[in-house]
Amino acid sequence: MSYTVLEQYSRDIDYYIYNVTLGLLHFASAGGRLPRVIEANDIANEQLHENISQLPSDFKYITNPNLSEILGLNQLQLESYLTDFVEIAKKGICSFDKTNINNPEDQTYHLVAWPENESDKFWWPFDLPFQTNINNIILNRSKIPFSENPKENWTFTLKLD
Amino acid sequence: MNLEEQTEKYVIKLISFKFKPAVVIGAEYNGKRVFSYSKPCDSNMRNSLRNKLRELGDLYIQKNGKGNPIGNCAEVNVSQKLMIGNSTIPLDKIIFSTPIRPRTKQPVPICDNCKHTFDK
Ligand SMILES: [Zn+2]
Ligand SMILES: [Zn+2]
Repeated sequence: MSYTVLEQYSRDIDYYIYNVTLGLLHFASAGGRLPRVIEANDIANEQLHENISQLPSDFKYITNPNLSEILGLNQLQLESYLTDFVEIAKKGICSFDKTNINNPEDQTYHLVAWPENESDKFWWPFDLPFQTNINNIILNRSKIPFSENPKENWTFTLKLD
Repeated sequence: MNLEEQTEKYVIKLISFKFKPAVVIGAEYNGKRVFSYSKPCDSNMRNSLRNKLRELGDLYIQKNGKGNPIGNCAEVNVSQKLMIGNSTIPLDKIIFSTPIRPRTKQPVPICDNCKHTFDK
């Protein structure tokens, strides 16, 4: 089974991509198109999200200080915006959101919240159902190596194929 | 409670079920209020809505291969719900709440298909 086009455009899907350097990354689809590897693995992806939801939420986290600027939100709006991404970061996972929610075809994502300690990124206690080499589907638009680019500037453009 | 507040309550209810549609919306006509969300709409619908959607293309297909598939928006679903028991509601007279993305409570701009369908 796979996520249908109708499903992708009508749901705000939680999905995950693994990378050797960056760890496990969470993305919120906001009704946008999914990368093919996720599209084809709906059951595994939903199960992974379920497993992650069960993890303890004890990690210290940081939220992106540039969010008001990126999204044009005031302080009150920012609080309700953050809730879900903070939940993910508290589980030791970097959490990204789709930047342009009014354009389903746009594949730009910004980092919203992440675990404070670098070492926390590789701790989860279960096998990943599928793995993908992030370099195949993510373009680091700033062209600066991840390690030298502060996380608040992390903007990914996902390639669908 | 106004339409916006009642829509927000509906959003909070959906979130409590861990249900995350892309968009939630409320609609009002002549004192009646209903709420719905983005999903493939029922293909059985009032003629006025069917004809308007047909101007865009076939149901569930993307116009020009991109954007929201026709009949997949929260606006269409909530209008169908509103027209149950009243098939004569003019589409351009339906009052919509601000469309909301439940995960973040961000307002979601109305898409071109819906601008056409509801003359917004
Ligand atoms: Zn027309
Ligand atoms: Zn629409």
